[in-house]
Amino acid sequence: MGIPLRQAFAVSRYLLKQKLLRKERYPLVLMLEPLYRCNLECEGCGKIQHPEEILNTYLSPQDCWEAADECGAPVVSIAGGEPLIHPQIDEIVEGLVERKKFVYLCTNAILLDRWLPKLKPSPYLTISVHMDGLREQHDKAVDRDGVFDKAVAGIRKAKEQGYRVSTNTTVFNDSSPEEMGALFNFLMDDLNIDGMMVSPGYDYPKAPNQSVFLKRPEMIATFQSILDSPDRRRWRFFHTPAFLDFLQGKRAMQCTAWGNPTRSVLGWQRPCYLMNESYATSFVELIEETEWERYGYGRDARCTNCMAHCGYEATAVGATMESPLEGIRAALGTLGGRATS
Amino acid sequence: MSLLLVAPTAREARALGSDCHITGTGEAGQEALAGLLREHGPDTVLIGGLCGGLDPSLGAGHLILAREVIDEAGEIRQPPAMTVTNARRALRNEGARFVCSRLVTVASPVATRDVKRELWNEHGAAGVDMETAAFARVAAEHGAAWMALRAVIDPAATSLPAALRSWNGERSDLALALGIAARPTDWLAGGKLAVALRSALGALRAGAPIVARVARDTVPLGDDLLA
Repeated sequence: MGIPLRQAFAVSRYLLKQKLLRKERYPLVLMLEPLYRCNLECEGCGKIQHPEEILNTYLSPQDCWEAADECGAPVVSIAGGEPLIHPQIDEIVEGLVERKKFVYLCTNAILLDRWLPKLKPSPYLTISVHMDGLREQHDKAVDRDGVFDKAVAGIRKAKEQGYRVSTNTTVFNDSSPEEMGALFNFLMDDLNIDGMMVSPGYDYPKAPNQSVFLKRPEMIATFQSILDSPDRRRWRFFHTPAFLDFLQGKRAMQCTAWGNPTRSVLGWQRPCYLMNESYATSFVELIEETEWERYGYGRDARCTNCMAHCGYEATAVGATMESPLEGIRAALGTLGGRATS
Repeated sequence: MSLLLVAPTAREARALGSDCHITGTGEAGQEALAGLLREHGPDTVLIGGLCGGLDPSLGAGHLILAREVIDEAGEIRQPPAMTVTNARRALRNEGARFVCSRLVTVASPVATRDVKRELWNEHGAAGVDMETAAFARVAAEHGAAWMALRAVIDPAATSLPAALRSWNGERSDLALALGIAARPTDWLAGGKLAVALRSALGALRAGAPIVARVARDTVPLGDDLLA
């Protein structure tokens, strides 16, 4: 099965409530960054280039829970940095699960083995492992040998212990469609993961290697090739069919930057998960005082080559809610475990 | 700062106010604009009018304040950044439904949503029109800055009625209405377009004076002061 039914119902109920309340802007996924410190330095990452004093700062569990309560989004993605470096990550997760938030704990899995005994399997918790390719490709992307094997071992162990496990794959210009297809087959068939997320890399100005990023037309062509594979029917994506259409250029969409608000050690990040122009002191301030009309494809040059799920999946979810046909496609994907298109 | 307010058609000019000049469309429109520029010698030209929507988040009546315009050859022109910033702030303060984005100018109407999607993917322009890029070039040739404010009439998800697909600004409103009336399959789209036209012209009527005021009030930084 793709996105769990429990999550699909909870998110649908939440979206319906926002519609009934006639809210113009509301969050879908809280991007929670309890720290920026990471144990890797991936070539396409623009999140970790902060001064030492910021890298040494953590959000407390209480800060994290208050952010979740303040924001109200039904889904919380714990990113970073590497969340498993946080000394109280188990407490943070437990408190969010108690609040019935659907938690995606994003990790490179290097430290997963240490934390599995302290976390508890739950229908509200998904461990989302970063996986950019098979062994050679992945280790090159994260700039360290052996990380792929650790991630695979971590996924196997987590599955054995009853955790829901998904993967998150970033597509760069050296990600060949064949390699991506082989990766997805491996994740589905050998590791039997619960679902996959995929997104083109965002061209962070601070990323160590600027040559790895795709331009928008190349992204569309690459995703057309990847998703045109005959193996596609076997792949379970944690995405709406509308988002996958968008990645293939079959559907026009504008970014919904407020759909995935970001809370980090520096505050509520403006305007989105990928760009840090300034920080608001509260979620209400972020929503009400940000000039949202300034941002998005065509509006800001920094958005030109962005097709990331943190900006467009919320748009796709909105489009799915508004169209009965899209709703049926998404429901079939959830019930049948496959993204249809 | 002196301002020349122009619109391609009489209908658009009426929404923009009594001081708006009608240029016409195509090459004749460019020649008319050149004549107006020679006659008035303004510092800035404000190009107002309707456009097709490409940004799928925009509905009928949404305003697009151009931050730049691109033509079919890929040439990009930009209005003065400071004036755009001030206009953006003024529109926001007045509660206008608008975005500050790119326009793309093409030679013929963009009639179907598939073509709109292709233009959107290619250029990331919020709206498409048939004049702004050429008018911006003419303004530059005459030493004037330019600004553009367009209101979306047909959003990205809609296709134009068949009678409008060869629109070039020369057919009268009556002829267009009769063309739509003659094709029952166009009635629904024509009706929606009529409602959208009202909304778009209303938005222009409200937004154009704000941008015009900003364009008149914004004095660019002088090169001598920056030296």
